[in-house]
Amino acid sequence: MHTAIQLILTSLQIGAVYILFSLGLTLIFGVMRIVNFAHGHLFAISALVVAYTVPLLAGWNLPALPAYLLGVVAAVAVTLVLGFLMYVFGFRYFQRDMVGSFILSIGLVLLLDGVFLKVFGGAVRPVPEILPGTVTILGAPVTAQRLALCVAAVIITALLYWAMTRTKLGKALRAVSIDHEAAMLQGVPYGRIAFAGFMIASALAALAGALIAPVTIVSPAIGADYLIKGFIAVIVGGLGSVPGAILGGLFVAAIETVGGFYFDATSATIAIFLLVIVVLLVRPKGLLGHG
Amino acid sequence: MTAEAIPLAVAGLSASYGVVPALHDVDLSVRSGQIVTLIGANGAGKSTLIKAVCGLVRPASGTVRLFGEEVTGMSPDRLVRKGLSVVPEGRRLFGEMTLLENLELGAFARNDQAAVRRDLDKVLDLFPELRDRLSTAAGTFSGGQQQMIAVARALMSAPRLLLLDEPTIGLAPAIVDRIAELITHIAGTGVNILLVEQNAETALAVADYAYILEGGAIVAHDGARVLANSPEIQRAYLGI
Repeated sequence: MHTAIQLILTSLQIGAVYILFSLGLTLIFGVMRIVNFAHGHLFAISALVVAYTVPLLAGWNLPALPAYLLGVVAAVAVTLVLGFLMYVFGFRYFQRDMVGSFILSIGLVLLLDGVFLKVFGGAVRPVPEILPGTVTILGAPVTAQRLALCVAAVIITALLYWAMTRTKLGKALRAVSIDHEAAMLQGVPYGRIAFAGFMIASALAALAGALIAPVTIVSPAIGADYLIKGFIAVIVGGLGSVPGAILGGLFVAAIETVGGFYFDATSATIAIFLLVIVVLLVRPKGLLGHG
Repeated sequence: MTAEAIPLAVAGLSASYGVVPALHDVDLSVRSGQIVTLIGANGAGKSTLIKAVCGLVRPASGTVRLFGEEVTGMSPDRLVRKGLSVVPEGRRLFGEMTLLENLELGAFARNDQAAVRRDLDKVLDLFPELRDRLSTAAGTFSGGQQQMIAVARALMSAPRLLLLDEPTIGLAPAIVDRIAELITHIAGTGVNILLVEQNAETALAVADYAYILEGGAIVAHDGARVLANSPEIQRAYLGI
């Protein structure tokens, strides 16, 4: 029982980050019908900025929490600038062009790999502990930091869900991802909606990166692993589906956690890929996929 | 009547788009207060013409004027703001979204929420059977109801010119009659109408003026009653 609770809590912690990550991927795919392999770099730059600024600010005798919050603001700002540049000088010209966007995003991956290494260096950066202490939930101990990460991820996901179903922009994003021509015939300005979708996705990646930074080891390569898991999550859940991304994120996290506990990390990764194959054989469009 | 008042004037329009049939030098106009129909068989180029008018295909040459203003090649979302609304072929509802969300999207370009609410009420008066099902996913309605929703959604933008692309295709005769009545009713509220149809019988019955499209070119145009009585049209399109 104790083990089960521990495993569920760990799954939720990992899943929370996968969900934020895959929500961005699925939003970009839904609205622009492109896959952005450089999405992991938006996530990485955010984590890097946090890892860079928090020790710096702490060095000026700022307490850990305000230092971290300032670091998050800086990280989101930098990430949004990078996302803006990616869109305006890149993806804007490759909307609904799977091959073109694929080549562009692979190019961006190589470029940004080099830039990050040059700017931030190759060394891993630990982030000082922000929220000290441990909380016990149903007899299972969880660090306060990881609990805060989960709570923040749940709030962000709930906010996004609310915005997608209740606001005019959210409805336009959903309409465009179902049928962009029909949406334009209703007066939805496709270009502006695509830009908004890309920037929201960038913000989600930024928040995911900033949240994960204090509980992991940050390196310029941090995006790659999350990118693969995030893609698996959206493919399992159904590309373009918001509930699908949430379900897929939890699914991947659960297998990773349970597999890693009873076997080892490598078997867990193999198990994820096997289950993806099974899901796609049974439901080629993913669990909640459409179109 | 001045030239400026003509709701839709297409002149010398030529277009081709992928594998769809091309258009050659098409002239067509919808005059104020008219229901105009464009009749053609499958592959005659009807959809290409609709797409060129509503901004989904950029014509190779020729002009499209909407209420006197040249709008050739303008994007569909801008044309909606100039008074054009389209009921696309195959309805193209947002199937997983609710009926209400579909209707709200129809009014996307409008900012006066009070007027939008009034129009929502008016539109639902036209389709009383939809009123209780506003939170149902649009894709789960029957074919006839989905066609009604598509018309309702198009009306939510408060259009001055309504384009209907094959609204009766694949529907039961009773529903076809209802749609024909509906088109007449909408025209009566001051909306100009271009009805693109394969079903010549229904189209000629509701329209004032008709164009016949064959092989991407207009081959005949005249008053709808005149064409309905022409032996050639009867043989080719009415199966008499």
